[in-house]
Amino acid sequence: MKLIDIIINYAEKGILLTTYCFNCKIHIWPPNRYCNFCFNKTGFRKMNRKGILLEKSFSNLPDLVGYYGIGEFSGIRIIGSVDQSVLPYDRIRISQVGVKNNKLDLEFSKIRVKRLK
Amino acid sequence: MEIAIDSTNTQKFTKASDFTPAELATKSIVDLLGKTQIQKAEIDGLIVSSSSNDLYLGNIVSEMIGIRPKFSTKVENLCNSGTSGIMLAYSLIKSGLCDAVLVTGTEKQDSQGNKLTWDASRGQYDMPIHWASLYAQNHFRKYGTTEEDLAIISLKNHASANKNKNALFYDKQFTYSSIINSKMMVEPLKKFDCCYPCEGSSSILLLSEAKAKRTEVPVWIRGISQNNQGASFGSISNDLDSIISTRIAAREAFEQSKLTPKHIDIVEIHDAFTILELLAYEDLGFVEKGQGRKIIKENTLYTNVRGGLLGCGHPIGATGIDQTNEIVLQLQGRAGLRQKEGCEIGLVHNMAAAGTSSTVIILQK
Repeated sequence: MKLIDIIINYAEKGILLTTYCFNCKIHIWPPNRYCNFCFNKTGFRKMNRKGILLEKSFSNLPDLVGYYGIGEFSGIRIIGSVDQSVLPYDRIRISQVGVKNNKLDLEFSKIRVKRLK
Repeated sequence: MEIAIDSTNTQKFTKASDFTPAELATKSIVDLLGKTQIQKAEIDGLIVSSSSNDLYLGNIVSEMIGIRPKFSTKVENLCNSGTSGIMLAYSLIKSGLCDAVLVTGTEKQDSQGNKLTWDASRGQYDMPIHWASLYAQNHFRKYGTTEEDLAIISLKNHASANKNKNALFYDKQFTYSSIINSKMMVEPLKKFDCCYPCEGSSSILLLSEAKAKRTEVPVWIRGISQNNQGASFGSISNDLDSIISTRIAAREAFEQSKLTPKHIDIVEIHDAFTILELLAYEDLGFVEKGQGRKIIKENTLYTNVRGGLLGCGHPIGATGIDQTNEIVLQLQGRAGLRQKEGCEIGLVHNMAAAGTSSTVIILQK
C-alpha cells in the first residue's frame, strides 16, 4: 500500500499521521519510507497538532472559497483552511482532519490564551 | 572551452491544435535548421524538454527530423524543464561528448505538468496560485508591496507581448484598469496576475567553440547554474521572503561569469505570477530584499520584453527555451520590433514548483 493511502485512510477517521524517523526523532513530510537525513526506515506517528501560522490568504476558487494558510507543526509545513480571525504568527492547532477528493482536508484554528485569574 | 548559442526558433503559442508534442517540436526544429550554418548531420545531441506523458520523445523527434545523434533524451523538470535541457546540452558540449546539441521544448495546454500532485503539504490547495498568493501576502505585509505594483508588472508584460507575434496575447490589448479590476482569484492575485497554460514549442542550438566560429553572431554562455531545494512547498525557505533556489543559482551564475547584476542590460524573468517577477528582482540581486517595486517604478532594467509568461502564455517545457531565445535574439540584434538598443549582457531566470527549483543563465554577445 502506498504511504499516502495509509495516511489518507487514517485521516478519514480524523487521525493525522506522518512518517517519522525514530532515530533522528523527526517527522518526514511528504511521506517517505526512508529518513532523508540518516536513511533509516521510517514508521508512522501522530503529528503534534499545535503549531504556528506562517501566512494566510483568501481563495475564491470554486470549492475552496475561504481563508487558508500554511502552518508549521513539529517542523512540518502544511496548508489548511483557517478562520478569518487567525493572523500570521498566531499559535494554532489542527482542529479538524478529514479527506476530500482523496487529499488531506485540514482545518486550523487559533489557540486561545487562557488568562490567569 | 566556451559554449555558444547560434540559432533559435519559437512557434506561435496557442490554446490548442491537432499537433502532438512531437509534431510541435519537429516544426520548431525544422524552422531552426533552415536558418543555421550548421548541417543537420552535425547535430550530435537532441534534448526534448516536456512534461508531456508521451514516452521516448527524444528518439521519436530524432527520427522525425532524420538525425541519428550520439545522445538523445527527454528532460522533465516541471516549469524549469527548458533551461534544465539547456544546462544538460551545455554539460554535454563542455565535457567534449557532443559538439552541437539541439534543445527543443514542447507542450500541450492540458499538460500534467500544470500541477504537482505529489506534494501532500498543499492539501486541498494544490493549484499553484495558492502558494504564489502566500508569497504575495507575505511581501505585502512585510514590505508594503501593493496590488497596484503587481498590476504595473502585468501591464508592462502584456504590453510587451503586443510586439511579439508568437505570444498568446499578441492581439489582446490590456489596460491598467482591466488588470487592476480583473477578477480576484486568490488574494491578492487577480486573473491577470496569473499566466495562462498554453501549447507551444521552442528550440535552441548550442555549439562548441570550434563550431561557433562558423556562425555569424554567436552568443556565449558566461554563467549557468541551477539549484534545487526539494519538491514540496513545505520544504522551501524558513520564511516566504525569498525564492532560495533563485538566490543560490544567481549567486553561482554570477560567480562563474565574473559579472554582477550591475552588468546586466536585459533580463527574462519567470513571471508565472506577477509576485514572482518582483521576488526575482530581489533574489537575482538587482535590488535589496523588499525593494522589488523600485525596479518597476524607476524602470532601470529591460525586463520580460518578449511579454513574459504573463503575455506569452506558459507551455511548460518550452517556456525556459523561449526565455533564453529572447535574450539571444536581443544580444544578436535580431529581436525586430522588440529590439532594445545597446544590450551586451542578458540574464535568464526560469523556475518551478513554488520556487523549489531555479535556473539562471548569463549570456554575452
